[in-house]
Amino acid sequence: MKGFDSNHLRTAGSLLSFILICLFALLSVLNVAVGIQAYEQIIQNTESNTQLRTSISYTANKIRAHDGLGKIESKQEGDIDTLALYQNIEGDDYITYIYCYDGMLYELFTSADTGFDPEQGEALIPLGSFCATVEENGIAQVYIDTDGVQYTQFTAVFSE
Amino acid sequence: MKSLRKGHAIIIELIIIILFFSLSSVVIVRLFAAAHQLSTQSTASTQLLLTAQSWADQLLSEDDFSIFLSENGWSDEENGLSLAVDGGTLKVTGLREEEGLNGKLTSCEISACLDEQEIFTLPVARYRPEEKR
Repeated sequence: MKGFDSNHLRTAGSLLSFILICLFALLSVLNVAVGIQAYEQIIQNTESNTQLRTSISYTANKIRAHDGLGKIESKQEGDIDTLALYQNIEGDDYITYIYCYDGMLYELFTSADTGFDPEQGEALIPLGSFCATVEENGIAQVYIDTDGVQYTQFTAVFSE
Repeated sequence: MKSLRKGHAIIIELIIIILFFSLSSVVIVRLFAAAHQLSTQSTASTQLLLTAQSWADQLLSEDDFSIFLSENGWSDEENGLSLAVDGGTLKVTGLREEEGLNGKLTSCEISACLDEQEIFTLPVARYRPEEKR
């Protein structure tokens, strides 16, 4: 009887150890899974924030920098909505186009005589979509969609 | 008897290890939660800053700040006007008009509140020169 009890206890002890190890392993895996999820979400939020802030600040600063240099208007070039910033340099007319092409925000600085070619521009930052309008009261309205986050920014244009 | 004691020792050792790792897990999970909260707050403050700048720029093209704000969903409050936006509240305070010799200066301050705490204030001022007769 004593031998039986001793064997029984030994088996129960081993089983308990095994269960504890399994529990520990399970909780560790759960911990790592939660960590991965939290980390991924933080990275995604940070990227989304950066894209939104950079694209909005970039466009607003471009508008402010061009304010007074020449006309600012929204222009449809084929299927692409662009924001066209005109300026005259030493008697020649130039246009800076800001637009979204192939999932990226682009800038193209070109002579007014040259046609618009979206592939010639410089890719700046990943972007879902871009749309701009310039209203009569001097407000440039820029609509940006980045990573599922939509945002509309208004920028004052002071020059006529 | 010896092997039984050995078995108990192993279990106690395992329990201590698991307790230690459980404590570590609690600390780590709290860190994850804090990081997530910081990230959410950062997103909200970015949105608030962009929205405040957007409203500030719209005000710059308006003659009467308070009429424009009232017409666009801002509600009257004790010290000014307020608007609930994604992630927080925007408040416009210190609305004033100052007549000068050559024109009129309209100004106000847009402040952003996140969880009832003010996170920044954006001054807005527009000077409109009088047309010469």
